[in-house]
Amino acid sequence: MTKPDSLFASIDEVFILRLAFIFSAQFALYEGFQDYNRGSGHPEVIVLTLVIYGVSLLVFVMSLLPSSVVLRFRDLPLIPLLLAMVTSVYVVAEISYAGAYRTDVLAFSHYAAMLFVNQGANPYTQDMTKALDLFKVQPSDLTPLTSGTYLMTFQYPALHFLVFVPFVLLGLRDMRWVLVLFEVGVVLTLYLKGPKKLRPMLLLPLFAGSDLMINFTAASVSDALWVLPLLFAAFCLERPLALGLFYGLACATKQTPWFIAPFLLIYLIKTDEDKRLRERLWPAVKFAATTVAVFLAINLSFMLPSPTTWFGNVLTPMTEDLVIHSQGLSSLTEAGLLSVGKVFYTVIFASVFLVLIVNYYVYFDKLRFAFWIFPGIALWFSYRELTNYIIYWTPLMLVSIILWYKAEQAKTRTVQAT
Amino acid sequence: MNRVRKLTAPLSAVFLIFVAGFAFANLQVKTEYPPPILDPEFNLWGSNPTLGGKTPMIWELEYEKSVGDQILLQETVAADKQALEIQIFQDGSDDNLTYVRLGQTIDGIRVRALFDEDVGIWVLLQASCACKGPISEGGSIFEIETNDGTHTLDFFFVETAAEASISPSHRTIFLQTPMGEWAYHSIDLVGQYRNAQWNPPDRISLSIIFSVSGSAAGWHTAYVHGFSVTKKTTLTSTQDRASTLPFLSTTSSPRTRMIDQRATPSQEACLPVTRSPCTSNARLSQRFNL
Repeated sequence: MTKPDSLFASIDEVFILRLAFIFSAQFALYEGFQDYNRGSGHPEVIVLTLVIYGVSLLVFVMSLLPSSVVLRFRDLPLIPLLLAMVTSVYVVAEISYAGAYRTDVLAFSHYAAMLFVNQGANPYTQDMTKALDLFKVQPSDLTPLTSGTYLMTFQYPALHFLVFVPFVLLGLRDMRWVLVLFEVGVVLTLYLKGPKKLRPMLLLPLFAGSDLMINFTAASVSDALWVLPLLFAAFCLERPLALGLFYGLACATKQTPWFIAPFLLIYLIKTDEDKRLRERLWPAVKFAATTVAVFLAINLSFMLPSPTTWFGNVLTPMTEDLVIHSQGLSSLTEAGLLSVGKVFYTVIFASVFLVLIVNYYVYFDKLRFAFWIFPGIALWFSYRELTNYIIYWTPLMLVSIILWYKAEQAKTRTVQAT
Repeated sequence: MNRVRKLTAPLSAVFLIFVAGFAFANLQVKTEYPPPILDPEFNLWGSNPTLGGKTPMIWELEYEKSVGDQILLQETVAADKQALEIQIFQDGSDDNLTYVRLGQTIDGIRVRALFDEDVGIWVLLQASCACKGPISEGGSIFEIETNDGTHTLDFFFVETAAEASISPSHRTIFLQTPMGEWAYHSIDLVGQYRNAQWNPPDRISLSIIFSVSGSAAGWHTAYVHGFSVTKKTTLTSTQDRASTLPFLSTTSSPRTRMIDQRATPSQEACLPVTRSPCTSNARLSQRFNL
């Protein structure tokens, strides 16, 4: 018997679903095999691997069943992907890394939350060295300075540690699970907000490789924390107050989303070009005011006791003598192929950023949805460009294509109606 | 507006090319090397479950000791300087050497930096309580060693000057170091490699080694304030002259006795030595295969 749903489903939609089934099963199978290798000898890993293999085989079979079955279980690809994600993070974090944090970022943030909870201390004025021992951070995972010493201060806006405070109170020992929670939030938000017929396709870029959703988080890269609020912001582009609220939260978490600010302002000013300038400026003002208010509400109590320290820490890449370290253009210098200093890369970065802003303003009609990757492009020219400065913009680009799709759909409907 | 739209993209490209060219031509400052020596002042300490207590995090620790021997590494303040303190207690029950090696591997552009810049080290030697005499005569050796896989350089900190020992793949340089006060030594790797006609290495290990012979019973202590790496000066290499004029390689700080601000095991547990541990330089050289 054919279900009513399948009556309206196109052949293309079912084809896409079948592809998504096979992709998710294949990805889970790959991760299951990796976990088997990484965690052999650990009984719980064997059990988890068996579950992953079982689910993968089931989804493989279902991809080839009649269309009605495929359509009824259209959300099934989420299960092997999320299962593989959680299992792999567990195996990599707990077994491969033996519970050690692999970045100073997460160690310092977790320690800052502990200091805040236990002593009410302001982490910006504290030495974070103890965190390295506490979370077994390896020397290779520290941030070196040109002097040969290492960064030992908390360098992020306050929400980056405040987000862990409830979990410290709950007794959670490994904050990577908080990052996983945020990642699941990102996946589900995109999935639910995506056009129903094409939802499974939205998962593909997120799981095209294990870095974005598994390896970086397992290695304690904390960017998922700002991606989720920025994702919410991206879906509120037409509502300046909500946009400002979520963008303020993203900016209060990490510095990376700061770079999108000029593009958001241009978006708000240029969206309705038919309106008068004053009417177009008003949403931008509301957005900016809300963002600043949210940012200050979270950070002010830590800024006021020692503003110089707070600014010095949060502006670390500008105030501290970090070594050139990059997977971007400056890797040429890191490898000794190009003898230029940090100033060179800073000038190039600033120029590219300026050019992107100007071009976004001038060619707004064409670049309207393209701006989410602009910070990644500009940062690729800076003296410190790590892959996570680019890869975490992927969910935001997916928002762009959802919004673009919906805008095109609305346009088509209008044309059809007239 | 149409003209603006037409011109913005090409002008952007021209602007970026101009900026890149200008920056490349004018901002080619002296290469900004990454630090050749990481944690040069031993600021980072982490728990070491094997040895017990804390040890420098960045420096790889290797040691060998007999059952009754003790090794202690700690942060301290010695003669007004923050320092890494290395203590070895040799129980003298056998002839086995007890040693501690703290090392790090330096490769890639960091090796170039190491050879392009002036490297120095602050050290302080304490008279062995077992010998009540010079540390070098008490059966212990304190040194910096570099090894590129083929060639080895040993810079020994000794109280009495000695001629450098040279072989095709191994050079030992004796740096005269007064007891009980901080001394700064420049470590002239470039000069030594040039004199030995060795090719600059792609990768070297840099180690601080403190070793005590089995016969030197008692506590032995050495201190390192840290390494300094500075832009190269045009002065003649001190170490070039050091092999012939050993006194030139050492610059001592104003004469101050070492003040250890805490009770050290060496003070608390300086055991009476029943056997004579002091060996001559010649015997020491033989024992340590110098």
